[in-house]
Amino acid sequence: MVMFKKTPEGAKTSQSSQGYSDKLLEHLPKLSDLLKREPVAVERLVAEAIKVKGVRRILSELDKVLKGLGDVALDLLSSLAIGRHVLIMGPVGVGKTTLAETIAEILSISDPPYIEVACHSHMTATELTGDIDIAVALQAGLDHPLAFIPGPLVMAHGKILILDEINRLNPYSQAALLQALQEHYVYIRGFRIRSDFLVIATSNPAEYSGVYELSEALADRMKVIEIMFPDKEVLKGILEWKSNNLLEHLGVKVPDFLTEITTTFVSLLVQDANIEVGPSIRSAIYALANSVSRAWIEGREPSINDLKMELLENMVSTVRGNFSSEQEKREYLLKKFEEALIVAKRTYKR
Amino acid sequence: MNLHKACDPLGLISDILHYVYEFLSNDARVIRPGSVRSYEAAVADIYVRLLLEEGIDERKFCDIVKRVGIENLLLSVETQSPEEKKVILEEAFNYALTKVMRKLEENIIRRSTELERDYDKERSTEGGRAIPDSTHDKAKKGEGKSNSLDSLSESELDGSSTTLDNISFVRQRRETVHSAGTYEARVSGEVTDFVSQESIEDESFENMISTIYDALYGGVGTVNFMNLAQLINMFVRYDANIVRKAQVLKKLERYLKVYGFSAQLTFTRLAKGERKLFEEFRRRVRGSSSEAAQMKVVKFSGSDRYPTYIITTREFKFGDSYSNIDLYKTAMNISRKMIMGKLVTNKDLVVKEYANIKSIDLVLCLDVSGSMRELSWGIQKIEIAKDAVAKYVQFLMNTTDRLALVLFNFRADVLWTLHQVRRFWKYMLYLLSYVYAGGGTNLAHALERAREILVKSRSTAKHVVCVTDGRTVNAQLCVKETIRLRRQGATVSTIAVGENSDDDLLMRISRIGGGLFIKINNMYDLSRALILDKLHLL
Repeated sequence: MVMFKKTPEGAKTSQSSQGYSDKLLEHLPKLSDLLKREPVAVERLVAEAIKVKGVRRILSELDKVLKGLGDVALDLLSSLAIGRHVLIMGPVGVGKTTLAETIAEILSISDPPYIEVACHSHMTATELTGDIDIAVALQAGLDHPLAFIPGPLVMAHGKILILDEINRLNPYSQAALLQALQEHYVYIRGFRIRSDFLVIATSNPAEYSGVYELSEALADRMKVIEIMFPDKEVLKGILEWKSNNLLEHLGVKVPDFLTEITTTFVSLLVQDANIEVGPSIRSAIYALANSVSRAWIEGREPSINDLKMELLENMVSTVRGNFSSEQEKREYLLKKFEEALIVAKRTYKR
Repeated sequence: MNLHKACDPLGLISDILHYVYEFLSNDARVIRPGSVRSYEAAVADIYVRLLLEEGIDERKFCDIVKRVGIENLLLSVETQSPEEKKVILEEAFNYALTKVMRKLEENIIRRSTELERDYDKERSTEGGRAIPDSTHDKAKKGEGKSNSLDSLSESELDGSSTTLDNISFVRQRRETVHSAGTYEARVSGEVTDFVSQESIEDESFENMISTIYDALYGGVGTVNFMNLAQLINMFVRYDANIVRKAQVLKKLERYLKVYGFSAQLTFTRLAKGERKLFEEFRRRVRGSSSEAAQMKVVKFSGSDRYPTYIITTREFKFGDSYSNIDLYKTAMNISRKMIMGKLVTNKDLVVKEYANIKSIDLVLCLDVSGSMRELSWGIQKIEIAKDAVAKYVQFLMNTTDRLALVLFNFRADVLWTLHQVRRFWKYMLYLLSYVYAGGGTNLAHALERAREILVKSRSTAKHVVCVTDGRTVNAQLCVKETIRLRRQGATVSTIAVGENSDDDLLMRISRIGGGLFIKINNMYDLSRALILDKLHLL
């Protein structure tokens, strides 16, 4: 009975899924289409989008996601509008990637608005450009949609290409990227495919470990925008807003005093001479939210001890400095927390 | 009328970048002044950035030009040291901006006189009619930056051009000239402020000579005699940062030199032969059997309460510091192997391991009374004591301990408050080298100062060491102060030097303080005693 009932339905779904996959296949670009591509002036699209949207609206939309980066965003827009590629530089967790994605999304010069690549040191040039699958090409012909799987450099035609952590890109793939930037063409097994795009790259400052330096020719095509660590007032605003966002569905709010302590703690660590890489804003936000959610699970009010635990657990892996051992780092952070507590108490009274 | 052509902000920006390029190519620190591509991009980028901004005044204009320009050129320019790059670029932009601004101002002044003449003429002939376009344009070219960009930013985006009416234009021009004038006035004001401040500082240092004279020659061994710590603390707070104190001493240096206090530590001051002689002499006299080398140590502390550094020994591993090698044990091992005719291996090298479990906050109270001026084997005792403290500082450099130094003669004062030795040892040695002796002895005040310092410390281990060679005034107060220190959780050790010392009192202080009492007959043993006290080894 059950079997009988189920079979036709199953057959139906398989049929429709077959239909879907055909549709999806049609959606994929064919090599012949790619070769017919026309040049696109991406900077014109960007300038048009800025004109249509208006600077003020762009900034207000950005303000819903990131705060205190208005000036940086304008720098970014101005160079995109003239077709200059941008490199956003700054410490971990200040919102580099988010800024790039949000700006691209707001401009939305194409659909999808951007292509994102998370760069890593083992990336190959074909990974960026895409390659022809010989097996498929032999069976179904070169123009079958699956014969050529385009890489991000080809896909990004007329779009914004976000290269996350470009400083981890090795020299081989840098060369492929450079060629695409310079000639506006990507070469795949002798085929020449037009590709115009604007790059927003993000990078950590060079003192972080495990990075390659950008080649001179590539660096020359980029403008560097630096995002600084926000000052205390802005930082507090960001922490308050972000952590409350995270806790919205739980129906609890972060006590103001905890935010004050976290802000003081982070800014103390950032200024500290013993610490090379300070805590990120991201880790501070999550530490703050975690401490409150922990208290929520246990059904009590969040305490300073919760915050201490969470701050330590969230930050001990990101903070780097001249410590001989993990234990020493923990002790140092604890000491700094006590210090921050005293400072925060003093400012809070006032 | 084409506004774009009229005021030519692109021309202005490219002028600025031209000067930047000029600056960079003439600067010796720059290897490559940047590619043409990056300069082109910079011009366009700055221009668009200005368009995006709403409302621009002169300062904002300069800020944007500088920031966006640097952003564009940063990766293209190459300098000898990468750290300097940003600074050099900033210098270049400052240079270019001032140069362009000056040119503009000259233009404005010249044009304004022309314009006023034209304007008056027109007023008389044609009444309130607008200035002909030619004059308008010419004047605007000179005007350039501030007002026309303002209108440009609004007008350019929606593509329409605006015409300025002549009256507002003249008003704006006047404002610009006016603001330039006030700017100059402000700058000159700042300069005079700065000069007057300078002179005040100089005056205070002129007074310093007489102050020092009073301090040093008001009477040796009397109440008025000030020690170095008091002298420095006249100019800064007693708990100021050691770096600040070193700066003050640097300024005082030349005045101190006038009175014969120079910075050399004893052993460097002696001629080489002389020094060798004394060393030899000392070694003879200090042979273990001689009376002078006797060191008496009384221990009052329970081992659990007293903060100790646990020392273990282990075999040598690659990367260990050579200064940590335990010479005695290593020598024993090697000689044993030699006797047995075996090869010496890594395992025979024994390294002392310092278990830095906790860091101690140490306060050293050093006696700088007149009796410290006495000679001991041809050298002033104070110089030997300074040498001993210097060795102590060097010993503490391997630890995370913090050290404060209190000098006391008739009064006590803090030469430096608690600072980590590892980081500030250079300053410590510098300050130490200028310590001089003279005056009475007041141990109680020194203990009080030590308490004041330790109140602020949150360390679990606090320790006070007193070094003295004489009898103190107000013995009762000393005991009271020690009790207070003990209640605060600090331990107190005393080191008595020579025959004159009040051993009973010092012994009592150590007993109450729960530390060590060390009696040495000779100042030369002070460094040994200090380190012994630190390590708490018997």
